[in-house]
Amino acid sequence: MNRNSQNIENLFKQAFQNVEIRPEKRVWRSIDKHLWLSNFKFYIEHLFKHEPISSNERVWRKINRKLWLQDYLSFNLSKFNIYYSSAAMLVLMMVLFSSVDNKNFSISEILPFTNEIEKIQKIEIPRFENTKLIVAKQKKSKVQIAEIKLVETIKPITKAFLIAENKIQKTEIVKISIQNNQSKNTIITKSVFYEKFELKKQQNSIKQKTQKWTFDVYTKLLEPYSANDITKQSENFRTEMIGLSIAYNVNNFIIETGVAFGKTQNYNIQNDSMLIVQNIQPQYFRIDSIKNSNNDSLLSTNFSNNNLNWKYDSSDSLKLDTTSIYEVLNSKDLYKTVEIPILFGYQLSQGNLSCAVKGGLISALYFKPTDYVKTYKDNSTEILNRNALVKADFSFTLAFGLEYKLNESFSLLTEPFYRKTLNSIFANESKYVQHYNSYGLKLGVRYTL
Amino acid sequence: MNNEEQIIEGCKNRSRKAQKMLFDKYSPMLFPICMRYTKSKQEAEDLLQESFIKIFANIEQYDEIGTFEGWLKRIVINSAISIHKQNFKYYFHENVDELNIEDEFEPETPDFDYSLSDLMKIINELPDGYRIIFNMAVIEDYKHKEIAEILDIDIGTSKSQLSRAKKMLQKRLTEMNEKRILLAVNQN
Repeated sequence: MNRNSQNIENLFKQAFQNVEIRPEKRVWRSIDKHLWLSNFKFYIEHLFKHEPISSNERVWRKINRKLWLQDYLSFNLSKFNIYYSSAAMLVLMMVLFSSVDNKNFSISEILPFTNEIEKIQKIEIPRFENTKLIVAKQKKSKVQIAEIKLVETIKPITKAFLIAENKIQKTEIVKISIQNNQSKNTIITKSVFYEKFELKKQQNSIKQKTQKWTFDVYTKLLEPYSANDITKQSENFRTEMIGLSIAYNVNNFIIETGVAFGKTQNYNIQNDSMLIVQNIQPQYFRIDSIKNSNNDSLLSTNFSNNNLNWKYDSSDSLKLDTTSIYEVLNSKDLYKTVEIPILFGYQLSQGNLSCAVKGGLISALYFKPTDYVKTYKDNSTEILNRNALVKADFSFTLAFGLEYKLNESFSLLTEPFYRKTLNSIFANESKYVQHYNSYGLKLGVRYTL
Repeated sequence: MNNEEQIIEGCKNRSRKAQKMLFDKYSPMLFPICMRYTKSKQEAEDLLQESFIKIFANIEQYDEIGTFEGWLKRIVINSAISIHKQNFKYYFHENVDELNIEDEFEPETPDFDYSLSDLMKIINELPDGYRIIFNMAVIEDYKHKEIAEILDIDIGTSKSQLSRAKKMLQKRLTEMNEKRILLAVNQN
């Protein structure tokens, strides 16, 4: 570089012009590591680059569905939600129910069959006021008679017939009589009656349109209901219940309520066979000093610092009632339950089989037994119980019921169902994590009035 | 795939081979730039790495208006600036009274020959603010107005920083000369 003709700017400018310095190979290796991921992202983006809008739309549709469901399940005065739906369904059922009796029966439909009279002379039935439909059934040597008073604007004759038929069970209909002021004892045979009103073909459907009450006795199993122990992979709770329900069925629509009792229990605890008894004092033993070997019993909080670990063995000289101990241990992860469902549904029938779809809200109360065993010096034991209300729980349920009719009154029913719990029953039990989705099965017997 | 267009096209399609070829071809040109804008070789390598990652990630944006080399240089310089950007307010903070005095400075002509490594070492020793503005104004030929816009500083600040940088460089060169003379005397 010419030292006399350059100022500092020229000195540096010329020095660095067109300079090339090859970097170390490690620089490329570092770049190469980054490029692998960068190129991979590029290829993935490239694969989907023709559908960015549709992809976004799909995601948005999912989000939108969830938002809609959230809105639908929560009460908002200004928005249509599940509460409004339930109210609308109830109103609809009331309207349908009230409309049943408003159907007018056309007189022209009854007149033709008067030509088919069997025993009594032909008559005419000008009006239904003060007309009775009499259904007579023969049971062995006796004949039972049911009378339904017909009022023109209230009951169609088919409905009256069915009501009358239901009044006499377990027999075949032998005579049907229509009476009014003008003519008494107008009697036709069942076959004629059926033929004229096409009841044979429509018998089932006509019956479905009628209103009826049903009563269920059932047992149901809900599993895995409620919880996982956060300290374990799986700690399922099972709910076993028995219950009674009453349902009103009109025009295939069902409204059902009832009451069920049961227990929700951590059934895994029963697999823990080894017990450790602590603070043993042979003369005065309290169950509070027992815990499970896996440390998950709620009793573990009762430990004393002066632990004397001792494996319980039935052959040990201490004669403890193992059954009682297990019961107490189990009771610590046990909730007693009372629940009241309010369900709405729709039922379809074909022959002896019926199926129904039902959904609604279940309100439940959970009680926790605080029972314990006390053993005295003479080895006598006493179990004390206390049930304390722990939590009110609300769930949505969706059920699919199948019913098999044994006879006119009794049916067998099975009903698998899904249940979505809305709040946790383990508010005070930090070691459990609520499961909000559960499945169950209801089995029972139905009596139809 | 030896010419520039094919390499660029390969890089746009994320071809590893093309990316390696582009690095091999242009890194010797870009590495000295990185060295000028940083204090050490390690920092220069980091800057070069970051610059090439940006180059490969944004190569679709190269519109073929202007030279490809110019585009690459701009990315390297912008990367160098962005590293220092958050500290600019400290780099370029100065007393306004000093500016007039400093702006009058005209550096003297050096007396010796200097190797590239000597000059690189002197530039590396400059404070960050001086080094950036000296590089941009003197080596890259940016106008003070452009520098002021890019670095978001006053034009006056850019001028004064350049003036100080030159003064500091001259001082370093003089010191280097004195050491050389002393060394020569001692050897004789």
